[in-house]
Amino acid sequence: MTAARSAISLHKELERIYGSPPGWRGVLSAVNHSVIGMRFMVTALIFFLIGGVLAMLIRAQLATSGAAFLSAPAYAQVFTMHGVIMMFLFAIPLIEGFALYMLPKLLGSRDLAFPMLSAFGYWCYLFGGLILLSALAVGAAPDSGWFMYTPLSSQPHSPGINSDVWLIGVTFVEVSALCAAVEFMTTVVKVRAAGMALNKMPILVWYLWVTSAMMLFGFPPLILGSILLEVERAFGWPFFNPEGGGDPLLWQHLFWLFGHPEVYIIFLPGAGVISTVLPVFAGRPLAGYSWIVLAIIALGFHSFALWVHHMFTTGIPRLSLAFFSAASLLVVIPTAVQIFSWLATLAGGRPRLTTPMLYVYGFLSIFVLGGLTGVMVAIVPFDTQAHDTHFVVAHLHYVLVGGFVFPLLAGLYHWFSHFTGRTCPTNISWAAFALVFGGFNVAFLPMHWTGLLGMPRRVYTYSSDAGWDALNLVSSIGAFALAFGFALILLELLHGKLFGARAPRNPWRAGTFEWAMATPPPSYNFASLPTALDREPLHGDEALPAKLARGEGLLGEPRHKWRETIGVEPIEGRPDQIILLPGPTFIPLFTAAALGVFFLAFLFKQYELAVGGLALTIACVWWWLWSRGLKQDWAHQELGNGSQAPLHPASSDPPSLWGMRFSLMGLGVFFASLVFGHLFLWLAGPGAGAGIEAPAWTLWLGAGALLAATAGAALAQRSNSAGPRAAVTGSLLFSMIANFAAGCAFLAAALLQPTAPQSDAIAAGAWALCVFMAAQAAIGVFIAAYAAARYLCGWISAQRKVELGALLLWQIWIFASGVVSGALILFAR
Amino acid sequence: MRSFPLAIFVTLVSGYVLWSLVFIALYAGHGLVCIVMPGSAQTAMVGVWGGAIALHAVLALWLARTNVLDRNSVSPFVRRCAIGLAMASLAAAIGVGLPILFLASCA
Repeated sequence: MTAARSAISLHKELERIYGSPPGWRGVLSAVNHSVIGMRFMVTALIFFLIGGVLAMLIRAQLATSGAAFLSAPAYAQVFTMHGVIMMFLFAIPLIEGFALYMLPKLLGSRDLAFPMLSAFGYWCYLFGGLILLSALAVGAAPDSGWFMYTPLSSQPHSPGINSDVWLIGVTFVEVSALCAAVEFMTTVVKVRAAGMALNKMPILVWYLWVTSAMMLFGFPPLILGSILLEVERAFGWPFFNPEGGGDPLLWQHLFWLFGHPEVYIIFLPGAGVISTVLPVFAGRPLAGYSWIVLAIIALGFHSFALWVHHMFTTGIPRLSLAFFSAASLLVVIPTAVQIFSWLATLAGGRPRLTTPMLYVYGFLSIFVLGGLTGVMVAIVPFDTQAHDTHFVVAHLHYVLVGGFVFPLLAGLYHWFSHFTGRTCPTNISWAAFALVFGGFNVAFLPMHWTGLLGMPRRVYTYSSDAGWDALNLVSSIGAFALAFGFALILLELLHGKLFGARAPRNPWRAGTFEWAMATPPPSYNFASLPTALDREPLHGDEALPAKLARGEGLLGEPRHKWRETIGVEPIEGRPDQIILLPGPTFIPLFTAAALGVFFLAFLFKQYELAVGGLALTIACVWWWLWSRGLKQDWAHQELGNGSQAPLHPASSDPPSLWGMRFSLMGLGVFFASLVFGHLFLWLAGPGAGAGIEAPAWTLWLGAGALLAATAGAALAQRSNSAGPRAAVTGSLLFSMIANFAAGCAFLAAALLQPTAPQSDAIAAGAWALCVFMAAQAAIGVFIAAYAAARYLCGWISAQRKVELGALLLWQIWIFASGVVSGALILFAR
Repeated sequence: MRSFPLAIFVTLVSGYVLWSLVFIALYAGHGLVCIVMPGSAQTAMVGVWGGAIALHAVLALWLARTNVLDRNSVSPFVRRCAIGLAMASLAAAIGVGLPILFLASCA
């Protein structure tokens, strides 16, 4: 055990090590999770305000029949951007920001697994969001609805840049979400407090973990669909055009494969906030921890089996519709398990009516109402009547506002003192809540009737004969009251931030680790790291915060100016490594900027510049990786409890290998979506043409070369443990050459066949598979070259070998995907 | 003996992984069956559904007995969750496939 020392002297030394540089240098180079997380949340809230203003414009236009406040084209941009901003630029980034900020604190660690990745994700989000906002400012915003159905969003019906802005801007933002997903999954698996076994994790961690898994599996289909539609618009490959054998229904499948999990990705963190806040104010632990873990996991899986319920009116066969209707009804059960658990917690405790609890009760009532209308639209005959009417608009706002915004507000008030170190005044909380709750119901409850009376979605005006005037006027009045309520909340929070009294530590007497630090939190979170003995450690040891501040926990003695946290075995939480964290760096910003050059060049059809942007991005990625890792072997280091552990690059199970595994899972979903699309067009497309006559030898050569590259990677890893240096270098060089040959073979498969991709959707699909395989082979060349360069510099050893492990994983994956691609091209035509 | 965390995670969610595969088999298989053998589609769909239920039941029994989930101090919690998820996925497989009994497969 380390000797106790002055908490203040320890704090000063740790701030020197973990703090960000002052001024603009610090702003642009920060990678600390608290800083990046707060940035995400503030940026998301700014986008929320912008999306809210757009909502006011919508309600102003619809308040009366025949209104001329907005023209039809302007209205199309306004409602599209309202949806885009709320779904892509507010909800998901706010969740990312909250998780970035909160996860390490809940887990008892100093930072996330990949801090630079978080910073990169923020810049991608900001740049993508600015692309979309800039388009809105100049009147070129997307205008085909937030889900961009083809053929309306295809080139003939949307010839302008508007749809391209959606496809490229949203894809840029989705890069951020995928980075966050890999980050969170790896962090929960590997970066926890010593002793924090799976059953001792705070329930909010389970929610965020399942959410990040859903993001990892849910976003790739959208990214694929966006790429295919952009390629169709730019190069004429007819994936969604029936005249070329494509099918607009394919877009709907790909979009909703993402879109339905998306709404549960938005709901689950909100439910996690409720599961955290409610027990605190009920004065007892959450009832049914294991039941809720089961319900969260079940909900995560179920959400991927509901997507066709957005497509009930598209003519899909009845039995298929019935499967999705049944699944949509079944998803109520895991949701209900959570609701009954919350009610049981309230019933078994002594609830206090605080401001956060107002929003918890608001959530319970509004979300349950939204869930009931969800059950209604899960019934196919009812949905056939309600589809594309304002009934659906009412339903989605009840579940999204009820299920996300109300928990967000509960969380904002609950953790306000944590974020700011000040007490939030509550003088106008009740009035603000009344306006928000009342205004919301006045706005959206009548909308159910408006929809049942036949008012469609997305119409910019309506006739006075329709009989919808009074209901729309009531909805608009409610919406403005809601907006006024949000304004009061914003004023109250700003007032608290600027003038609020200094908050006491842990004002709610909560039990989880995030309250075991000073507020606002220091850059290092914990002066020394805790050991998790149970789920609410602060209730078991009220002196724990003071002990940790004096350095009596683990890693309580700074050394070598390292930024350190503990890595653990994933199931039981036994410490198995010391993770060295990066310091402030401009690399994430430069990498995101280079990627932005690529996206912008593509948007404006400057394809040579796009190639340059891509090359610059690859160079930045090389620089990024080169800056990490150890250049020499180190002995095991003291943890501070008498035991030792290796540094993470020398560990047998480092976070980077888990990051690689999770990244491959996401890539696997992307590939599976491409396979699905190709099979869908082959089996159900409106009449495929000649298909593709790829020379079979090219595909065999490609697969064979990938197998050889895999063998080279395996040999390199084996030789590194017990072989001559030349064997390692030779194997890596062989792997590079084999990958290059594979890439050429797959490109040849596309180029040597007679059918142009513009003329036939199946041919376009086969081309897409070949290009995908060639790109993967190119990445194989990159990884092998990188590993060879590090080996030649002496930075890979028998201890430090993660690069070789990552290469082998990559090679196994691309060989498997190469075999599947080749088989699909040869036989599905 | 060493435990393999990835294997434990996969085992934990194995019930719902199986359910996902069953769902794909029902949805995609329904389309294929109506193209390839429309006359026997109903029988084929009932057979797939029955087979899925049986697989789920076998998985739940295996999870109750396997020692893959042992070798660590958290095994009671992990085993409880794995079996719970397997039972839930079995119920979900029954629920999702029920329409096969009431609707013509290729209408």
